[in-house]
Amino acid sequence: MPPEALVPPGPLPPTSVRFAAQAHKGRGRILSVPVRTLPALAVLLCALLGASLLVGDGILALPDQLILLQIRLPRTLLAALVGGGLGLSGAVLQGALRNPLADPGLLGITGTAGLGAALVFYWGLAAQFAPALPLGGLAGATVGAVCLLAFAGRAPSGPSLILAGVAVSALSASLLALALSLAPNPFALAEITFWLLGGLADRSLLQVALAAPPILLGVAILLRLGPGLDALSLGEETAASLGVPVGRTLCLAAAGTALAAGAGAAVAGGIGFVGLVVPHLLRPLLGQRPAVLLPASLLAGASLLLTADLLVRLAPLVLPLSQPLPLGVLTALLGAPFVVAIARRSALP
Amino acid sequence: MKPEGSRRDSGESDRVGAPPEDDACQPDLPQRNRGSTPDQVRGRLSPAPAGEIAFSAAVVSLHGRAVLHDIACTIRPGELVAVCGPNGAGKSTLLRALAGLLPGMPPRDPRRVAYLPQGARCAWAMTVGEVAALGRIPHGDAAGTPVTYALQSCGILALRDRRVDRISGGEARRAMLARAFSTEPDLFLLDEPTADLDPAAADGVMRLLRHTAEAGRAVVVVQHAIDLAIRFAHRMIVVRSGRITADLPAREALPFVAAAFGLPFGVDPEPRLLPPDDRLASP
Repeated sequence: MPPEALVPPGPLPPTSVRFAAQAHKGRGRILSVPVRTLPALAVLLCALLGASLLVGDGILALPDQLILLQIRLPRTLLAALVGGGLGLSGAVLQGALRNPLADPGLLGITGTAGLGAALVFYWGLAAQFAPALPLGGLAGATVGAVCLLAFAGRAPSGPSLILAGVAVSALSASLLALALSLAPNPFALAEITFWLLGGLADRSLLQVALAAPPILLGVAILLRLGPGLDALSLGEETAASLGVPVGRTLCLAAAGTALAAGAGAAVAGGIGFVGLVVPHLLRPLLGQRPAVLLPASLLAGASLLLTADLLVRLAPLVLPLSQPLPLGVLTALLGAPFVVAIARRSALP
Repeated sequence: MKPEGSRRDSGESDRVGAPPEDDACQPDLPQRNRGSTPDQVRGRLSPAPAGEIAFSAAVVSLHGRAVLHDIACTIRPGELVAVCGPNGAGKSTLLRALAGLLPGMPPRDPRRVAYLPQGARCAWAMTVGEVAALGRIPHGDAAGTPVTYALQSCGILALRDRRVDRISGGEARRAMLARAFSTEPDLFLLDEPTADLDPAAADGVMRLLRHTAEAGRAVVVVQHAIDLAIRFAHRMIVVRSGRITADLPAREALPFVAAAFGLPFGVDPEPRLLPPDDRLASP
């Protein structure tokens, strides 16, 4: 760019530094979300919802009403809710922490949710009282969120939030290991291990009813953080100078993640990599501005988990498996190479 | 904080190192500074016309260390003020104080103050237009007109749809400057806005800031390029070891700047790059 382009040489006429009138009306194209991607994602999500309701063990047909309502509907709704919560949480955390490798598991909430569920198995409560499992997971997520916010302090910064999350993760992982090593019988051990792999099979509408309110509340909190996350991409100090309450934004991001991803983990177990991968899939389409990614990540996360769950159901047709593939295993199998690709690409100059 | 004597010592060593013709220009730094600066600033504070920004503090401490002492300065609309001084003197802290960003300070209206920190960068590879539009966040709108004006003023309108990680460092710096302009603030607080720029581009940015000031805004620039500061600024604030040692019209501030850096000053007979146009700086 030639230097003359900056300012013409010599004194400028006063009009060259013009400020437009104070009141600006209407939305310009710069801050508006690109319009075509969101409807496309919504259509994709609807198609996948339909497919998830219609596809049984490889047979595309309208099933018996009982199967539809009691088996496929809860599974479909949970896949959409959990996936949307995970995708949105990932986009918010990556924006809030300015870290492309952040995901809901980083804050340790999914770990404490898993711990809560494991303790329910440990004491054998799930056999006596069916909703004990999701309730235990929710209690674990709540305790984890309280610990996280307490560790991070009243006005957390990005690094303090990450450190608090690492501490909560380590704490829940060690307590989980303790629960596994002290497991009363091999069946409890097997149940805990299998549950931690994550999955959506055999979930009931009761579990949907337990998980949906916290996930939807978390989503509502997280979707409002867009402008704050945009400002945070310039650093916490500049964000403060733009009038964004940085500590409050980070606290809301952590609390929203605890609700949206923690409640998901409480009913679906450990499903990794969805929150990490979804924002990266969307950036080539939508650009890198955090606020643009939020609604799209919600829809894309739901679509991704529905797709993964469909693959889980279709896998026995293709692969000689004696047991269905655990959903969390599938997302990790697909996600791990992706993380390597991100790390290698961002390491390049 | 150094004792009073050491400052006088360094002033004397300047005199030894300086060419003989500078000897007469060298002021008695500590006396003049102590006598005039605080009174001068307080005198300005009392009328307090609308739009003035004043900051005064006995001590500003960060992380248990006193960074600024006995600070008092006033920024008026229509004025380009350069803040100069050695590394670690407290220039950036002074700028943060003016921005209301120090702990415990009441926040300023973000629509009226734009703050550009040292080495500002964007964590995500947004487009230049998106970065500039971040300046509209305090207004809560997405008005395109001020963003376009800002990009135009900073000479990067053609780069609007390019990603900030795929343009040069100097162009990225100007994108950050455009972000400050798109807020349309009354007060610009810019920490080394010309740091990564080539000489011609740095000249252009200072020219732009001078015009911005003359259009009725207040502009404060932390500037290490002393020649640019003297040519373009109306006023110069020299900070040294956390104290304001001079607050003068830019043309008169050179001896104080030299004393703050412990460097001699004078007329350079060597051939060097000349500014593209010096009409602005002539009084």
